[in-house]
Order: sequence, then C-alpha cells, then structure tokens
Amino acid sequence: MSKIRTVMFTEYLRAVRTKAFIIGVLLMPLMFGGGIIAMALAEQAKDTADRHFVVVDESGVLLPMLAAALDERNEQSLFEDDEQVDPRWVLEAYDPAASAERMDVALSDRIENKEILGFLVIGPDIVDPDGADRRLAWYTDTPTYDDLADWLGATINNELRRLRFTEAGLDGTLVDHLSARERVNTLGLASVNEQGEVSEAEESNMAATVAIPIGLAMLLFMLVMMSTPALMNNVLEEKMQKIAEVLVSSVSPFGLLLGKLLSAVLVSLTLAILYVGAILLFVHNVDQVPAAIVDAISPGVLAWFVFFMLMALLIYGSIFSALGAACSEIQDAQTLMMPAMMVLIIPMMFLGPIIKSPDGALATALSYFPPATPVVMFLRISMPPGAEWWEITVAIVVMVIFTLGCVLAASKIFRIGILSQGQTPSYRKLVGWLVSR
Amino acid sequence: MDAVRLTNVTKSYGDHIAVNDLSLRVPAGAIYGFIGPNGSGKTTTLRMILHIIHPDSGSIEVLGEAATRAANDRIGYLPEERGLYKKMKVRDLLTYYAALKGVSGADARREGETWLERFDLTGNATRPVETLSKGMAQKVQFIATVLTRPELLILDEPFAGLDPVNHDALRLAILELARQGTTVIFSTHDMSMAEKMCDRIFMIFKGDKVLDGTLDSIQEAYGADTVRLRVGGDAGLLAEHPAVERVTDMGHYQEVRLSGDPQALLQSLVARTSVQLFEIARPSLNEIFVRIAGPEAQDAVATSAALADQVA
Repeated sequence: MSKIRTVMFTEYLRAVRTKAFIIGVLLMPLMFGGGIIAMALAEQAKDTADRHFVVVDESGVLLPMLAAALDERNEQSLFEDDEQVDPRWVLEAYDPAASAERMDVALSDRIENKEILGFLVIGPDIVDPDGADRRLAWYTDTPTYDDLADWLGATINNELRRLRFTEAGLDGTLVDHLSARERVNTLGLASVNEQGEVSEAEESNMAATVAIPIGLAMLLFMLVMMSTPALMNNVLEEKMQKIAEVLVSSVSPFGLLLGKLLSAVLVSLTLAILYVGAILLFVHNVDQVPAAIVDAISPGVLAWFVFFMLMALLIYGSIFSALGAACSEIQDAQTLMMPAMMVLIIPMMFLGPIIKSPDGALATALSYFPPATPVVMFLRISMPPGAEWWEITVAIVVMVIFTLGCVLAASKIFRIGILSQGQTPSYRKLVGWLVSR
Repeated sequence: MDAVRLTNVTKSYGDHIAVNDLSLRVPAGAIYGFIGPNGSGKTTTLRMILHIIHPDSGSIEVLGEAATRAANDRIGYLPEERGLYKKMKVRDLLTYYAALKGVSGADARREGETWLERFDLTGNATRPVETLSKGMAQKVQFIATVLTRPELLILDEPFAGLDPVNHDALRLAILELARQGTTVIFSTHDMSMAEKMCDRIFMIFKGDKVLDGTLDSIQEAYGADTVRLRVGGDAGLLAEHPAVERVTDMGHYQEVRLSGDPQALLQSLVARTSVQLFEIARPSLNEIFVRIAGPEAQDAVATSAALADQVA
C-alpha cells in the first residue's frame, strides 16, 4: 500500500508542478469563459457600415410604407447609449430607366460590384391572398446576413395583414389588438408538504435547471480529458525511457497502475476543487446571482459530480494507461488512442438531444452504456425531471462492474505491455493478451 | 545458503524458447557473471529472478522467498538500458526509487549523500537528470540501485559506455559491496572483466545453459589445447599446419587452437622460422565464448551442452 501511495504522490507532484499544468489550469476557464466573452465582444463589434438595397415593388402599394418603416427603424433603433450598434439600411427604389438590361441581371451586376447588398422583388398580386404572382424574393450573394431579409419579411407581412383585413372590411387596428400573442411561462411542479400546505410551482429558471448541470457535465468531461490521455503519455514515456523496468522491479505492475490512476484522481480533484470552489465563491458572494442558481449547485449535485468523475477517471485512466503500456512509439499510441477518444466524446456528441429530452430513449440508453454513464447519468440526475432511483441504481451497478473490469483488464495489458518491445499490437492482439494466461 | 535458486525453469514467447529447463544456484556472497550472446536469454533470466516476468514452468527461489515478489525490496536492479526521469532532480529521483523499495526518505537521503560524494556528484544533487552527462547519469542509476543496501545486486551490463575512470570507480564499488556480503549477479559482454571479477560464471546460449562453474573448472574442461606464440616472419604458415584448428590474431601474439601435440608443432616451427614466444595455455573465457557461440560453432550446440554438463 505504501508503495502505491508513493507512486500516487510522486506522480501527482510531477503532474502539478509542470508549467503545462499551471498553464492548463488558467487556460481552461479562459477557453470556456473566453469563448463566451469573445462571442459577446463579437456581438458588439458588429459591422455598422451602411447596407444599400433595392426594392422592386411590382405591386405599387408597399414601397411607401416600407420606406417609412425603414426611416423609423433607422432613427430609433440603431443606437444604444449613443453608440451605433446596427448598420443603417438604405432603401433605393428600382429605376427601370437606369439600365437597358433585364432588371434582375442589372441588379445582380450591382450586387457583384458591391454597390448593393441585395434586392427585393415584390410580386404585383401580393396584396390579394389568392393572387397569381405573390412573390417576395430576396436576391443576395450574402445569404448569411439575414437580419435585413428577416426585417423586410416581418414588416411587409404586418402591412399585408393590415391591408388584407381592410380589404375584407375589417378594422386592421382592431385585428392587431385581438390577435396579440401571449407568452408561455415554463413552471416547475406544485407540491404539498407534510403539513398539507401547498407550495406553488415556481417559474423555472433556465440557468439553474439547464446551465448548471450542463456546465458541471462539461467540467466533468474536461477534467477527464485533461488528466486521462496524459496518463497514456506518462506510461509511454516511462516505457520508452526504460524507467518502467526499474519501477516494476520494485512495485508490482498492478500497484504501479493503481498509483498512476489515483494520481490522476488527485490531479482532477485538485482542478475540481479549484474550479468548483471559484464558482461557489462567485455565486455566494455576488448579489446579482439568482437564488435558483445558488440552490442548483447543491451539495447533493456536487457529491454526484465527484462520484461520477471518480468513475470516469478510473474507466478512462485504465484504458489510456493500458494503451500507453501496449505501444512502443508515440505515433502508434495516437492510432490506438482514436477509438478510445471517440467513446469518450460520445456524451458530448449527443449533448443536444440529451438535454432536450433527459428521460428520452437516447438519454436513457446512453446512461446505461458504462463509458457514457458518468456524464449522461450525471446530467439526468441533476436536470429536471431527474432519473428514477432504480434507473440510477442499475446504471451505477453496471458502471461499477464495468469500471472494475476496465481496471483489471488494464492491469493485465499493462503487465504484459510495459516490458514488451517492438511492434505495437492491434486491438485484436490486445484482446489476445487479455485472455492469455 | 543460496541467494538464488532456479530449478528447471522454462520460459517461452510464442514459439521461441527464451530459457530452456534452466537450473542454477547462486551462492550467497558470490559474484556471479552471466555471459552469452545478445538474445540468448540473459535478460529474461534476470527478469525472472526479479519476478518481473513469470516462468512457464519450474521454480525460482530468491533470498529464501519462493515464487513471490516478497524479496524484491532486498534486491537492487540495474537494467541494461538506463531508466531515469529526465526532468527529475537527482536527489528527488534517488529518494523516489528508494521509497519504492520501502526505504524512508531520511535514510535514503543520508545514504544517497554518501554515494554522491563517493562518485563525485554532490554538486549535481539538485540538478535535473537531463542536464547530466551520460557517465554521470549512469552513476546516478547505479546509486539508485545500491542506495537501499540490497542483499542481492543484479547488474545488467553495468560497465557499458563508461570511461576508464568511472569504470574503475564502479568496479571498486561492486567489489566492496561483495566484500560486505552482497551477492552480485552481473551480465557482461566484457570477458576479461568477467574473468577478473567473477567467482563463478554462467553462460546461456539460445536459452540453454552451456557453462556454469568457476573460471578454473571451465577452463579445465576445455583443456590445455591452446598455444600462445609469436614467430618471426610470416605467421600465415601457422594456418597451413595440420594440427592447427584455428588462429586468433591477438596483435602481439597469435592464439592457436591445436588438435594435436604441441611439441610436434614447436619442432616443425623451429625448423622453418624463429620462434620468439611459445606458451601452452588454457583457453581464455573469450576463446571459450567464441567456441560456443562463434559462427563455426553455431551448429555444434549439442557438443557444448555436453561439455557444460561435465563442468557442472
């Protein structure tokens, strides 16, 4: 035991004392937070250059209204605190006399010459709901800039509705009033406590119900990503530099593997304490943070987080250590690493559908798939509606058995691989090692 | 009492038999030389003694412990290819390797300082291993091996790549440890070193034990069929003599292996040229090694094995 402890602490210190680790500690929140900040900055750093466009109004009734609405928009909603945040849109009515060419060709040329962003063609019969030509066609070579097209669509449709109601003898303003839209409020559940008092359902807070579990699941994934593939390099380095032989003459291969796995656990725990600690400090000390978020990071959720992190570290730590022991060269290691990495990122690939439907078929199935259980089951437990107790029990039992299997299989591959020389085995060969004596 | 006892040990990798039905006893306190060509099973045997790998059959007893790693903390092992953490500082590395043998940090540091001083490395104790020269690194590895005062020292090619000064320092250290009662097993390709240092010599060839005994008994078995001689004029005429089986040019003299009567050779040489040196000798370990494992002996392994049986 004392030797395993020696390996664990020495490996831990070797890992956390490196510059790479310290940079990594600072870099990860920068990457996460930086991504969000960068997006916010990018949002602000909008291109506010004027956008010119042409309207070809074959109906002859919409253009004046459009021009008026645009003036109003350009005057009222371009600025925030005296700073221009959106580009000015400049409307130009189509002038048939300007070019001898066909209208669409002439205007397309102007788009190519960067004179205008696009042009809108409004069909002649657009006001009549049964009209033959009710085109509303936006021509552009920049379809990704859809703000203008969206605005044009919305504005014209509002006007059309008003016109069509008036045509039918109804008061457009009244219709607008009567067809006002109502917003859906998403609420949690009402419940009755032991005293029989009903506690009202609360408006569910998106940040608390979704963002916190997702954030923690991502953190869990990142911690596993940061420490377990590193084990592969660590083992491979020891093997390539012949340190392994000295080590296994003093410690059993299983003890060595266990010491390394535990050091990865320590490294991840260190990071988790740093990050989660920082988050807790933040949410408890900044008044603007809603109570729902403070409540969402509950001790229970954190306990699940640590438990699933531990399991994920043992699973992937074993796999990557074994692969490191099996290889003799870095290139081979990377080839062998690919499939393991693919399995590791499965929960991240399906994050969208899992969040959309935490008790759906996909999320349920993945939570029983041991390599994905830590992240998926953690999400299911920490996000409403939550998983049933028996589901959690079954998933955990399956996962723990799988984890033990991984550690035992890894110790066998590790024992054979760590002293082997020459060609890196295929996965088929590794299975051969597993069943060998 | 034997420090190491192997009984009918066999180990194979796939179809290749690395060690074949090997029995060997290493008495406590002895310096035992393991020789043999590359890939003949030396390292496999050493690793089995350390229980790093396990034999397919047979039993291995080390320092009184049978078939477990229980004795490993009392063994110091210097592998053929050196293994040190490049980024670790010398002192930290020594402490770590000692801790893995169950030696406390304080003991390791005290013992480490003594050895560092002995090998003139005190000033390098806080330097990372990667900044050391090859010779220094090799001495550090040796210190890591002996730091824990092992009862059994297993050294795989301890002298490879050392300059004469370090070579000598290491040799003296090993001899001193042996005098203090440490059993030493070392493998080497340097036959003169084996002759000088070892009480007993064991040779393995293609997995089979071909030599095992004291240098005297081994040379005895190979008989006095060797003549060292130097003649004036053309040494080429030696090869033409019917009694000469093989001539090895040693520079200052020729080492000749004879099948017939040395007196007859001397007489015939005297008749044809001037003889400056003529000495009837026993074959050197180098000569014996070549006879067993040299190209012309490759197909005569069976004979060698038979000879080994006589020696044992």
